[in-house]
Amino acid sequence: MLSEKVILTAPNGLHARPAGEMVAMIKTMDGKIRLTVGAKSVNGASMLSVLSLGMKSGTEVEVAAEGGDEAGNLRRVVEFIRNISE
Amino acid sequence: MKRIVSPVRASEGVAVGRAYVVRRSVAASTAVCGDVKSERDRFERALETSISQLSELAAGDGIFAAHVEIARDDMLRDGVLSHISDGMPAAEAVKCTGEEIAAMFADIDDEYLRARVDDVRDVVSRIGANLSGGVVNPFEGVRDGDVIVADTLAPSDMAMIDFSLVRGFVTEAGSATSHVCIIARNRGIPAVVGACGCTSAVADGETVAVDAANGEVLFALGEDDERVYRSKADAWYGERASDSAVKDLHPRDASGREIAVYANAGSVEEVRAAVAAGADGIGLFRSEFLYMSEAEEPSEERQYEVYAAAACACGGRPLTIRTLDAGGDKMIPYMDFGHEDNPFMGWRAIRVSLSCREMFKRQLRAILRAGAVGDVRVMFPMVTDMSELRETKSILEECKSELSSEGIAYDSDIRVGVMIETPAAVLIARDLAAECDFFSIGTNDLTQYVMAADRANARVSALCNPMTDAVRRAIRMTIEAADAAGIECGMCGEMASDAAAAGVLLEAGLREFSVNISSIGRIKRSLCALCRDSDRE
Repeated sequence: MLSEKVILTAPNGLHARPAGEMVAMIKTMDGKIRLTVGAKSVNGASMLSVLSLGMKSGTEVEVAAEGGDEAGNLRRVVEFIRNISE
Repeated sequence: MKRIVSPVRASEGVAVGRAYVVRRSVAASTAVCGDVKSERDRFERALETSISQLSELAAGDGIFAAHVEIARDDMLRDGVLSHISDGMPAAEAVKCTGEEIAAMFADIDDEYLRARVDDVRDVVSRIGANLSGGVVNPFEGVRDGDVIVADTLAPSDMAMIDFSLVRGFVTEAGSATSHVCIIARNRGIPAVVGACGCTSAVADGETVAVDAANGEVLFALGEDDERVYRSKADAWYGERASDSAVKDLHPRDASGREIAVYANAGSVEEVRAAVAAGADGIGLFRSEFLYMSEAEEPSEERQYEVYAAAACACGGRPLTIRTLDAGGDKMIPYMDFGHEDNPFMGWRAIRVSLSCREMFKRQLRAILRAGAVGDVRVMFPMVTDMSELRETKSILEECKSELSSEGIAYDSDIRVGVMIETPAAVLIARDLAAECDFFSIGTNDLTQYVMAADRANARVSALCNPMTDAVRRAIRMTIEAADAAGIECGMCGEMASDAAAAGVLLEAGLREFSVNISSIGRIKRSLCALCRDSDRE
């Protein structure tokens, strides 16, 4: 398992549209992704779980990739979160 | 006269109209409950139906792509199935699970994110409706000039409403970030959200006034009150009407040449809105949304449907489709961009398309085919070298000959344009102009590259200004190169939407402005005024 911490800078936080795009991307991956904010840890392929994290602007999230191309999957998710701008 | 005041400012304007109070028909709770297996099957069918309805809606509004993900979530499905196994009827199991999921959102300490529970409720109520015989349209009775009064207006509701009939919106629930507010602002419809008690206080069919800027709903109006609010509403509509007369405004320069005001659009829905707002065509159709809103690359057929629908919506006016502008700050979920220290100088736009040749060909084929339906033009982003334009054109020719041999209709004379958005493109503008049919200046990127200043960096963002000498000179050089070659040159960046810059651009020789939909009226009026002034001189 590989993990990395990233800070969400999107002004509106992780709202429905980018969350939907991220979940759709994670679902296409060959491994699993877990997202952890504080004490709460969820499956990155579940839209409802991801939304329930309530990630607002400035939230630090730990992305963990397990199975498949761990390094590649981790990088894609981290980049995605880093690049949300709306 | 009575009034309900909301602390939220949803949109602007004043409207007076007949209240259409939305009554939600509650599904009959007496529905016979079958055994566990039949309830489970009924739920699975309702879920499938909901997902396919939402997928269709996603083509018009990206929010529904997010709703599809909610509907597909195993947490929802497993929750409902577990309640059904415990003997609960499917409809109740769906409702119950919906509330359990909504409870997970209660702890979120951010108002905007907590409001996403509305998205969950919207999906859950759709599944519930599909269980009880289908989604009922509660807006069928809406007549021209009505003000819609409802408990809440979810994205699914908004997708059923004919906005051309509606004068105003009033809802009990909602915040400034609700979907209804976004639509009300985009379409210039007066709206008040957070008007507690409105659905019980306002009588269906009575005359109501909506004063959006003050967040007030006024009802039980006396004759004098109604007169006052009607005149306010008339003034507001007068202003709007002068916008809707924008179609008939045709600014012309001193030589009599018409100045075109096109719009920038990102979906078929926006193309329709732009044409309704008086645009002379679409100067920039962003194809990214098609790639970003779905879980995989859209097929040629899917793209063709969208481009052809956009061309139809243009009604013979030009539609300029920009090929995929991915990278930079626009990520495509299923594409691997790798790590880039400097994404704006990295793998983006035409560079991505040229290295994903098969994907690029699917897009070009779809655009060529849409050319058979309307006046479609194709435009390439981030060209920095002649070799890129030549390679792109040779791929385009390859697509044409494939389509010819397959006997598929397309536009063999499609006009090919280049976005001028890098200093490199400005410097080779004369060469580019000799081998393409038009230019479009993208001022956002051009400004940041010419000034070497990141607009997101507050310490240097003052430099990132298109009115600086260097950027103005770059714009002038581009227009001169286009004029010398006898090709058209437009502008689709933010600068074109800035009325304060219109004079400078006109003077530099720009004759095509492609602007935000909300700026069409303002820019056309500014251009008319500027042209009149220069006539007088």
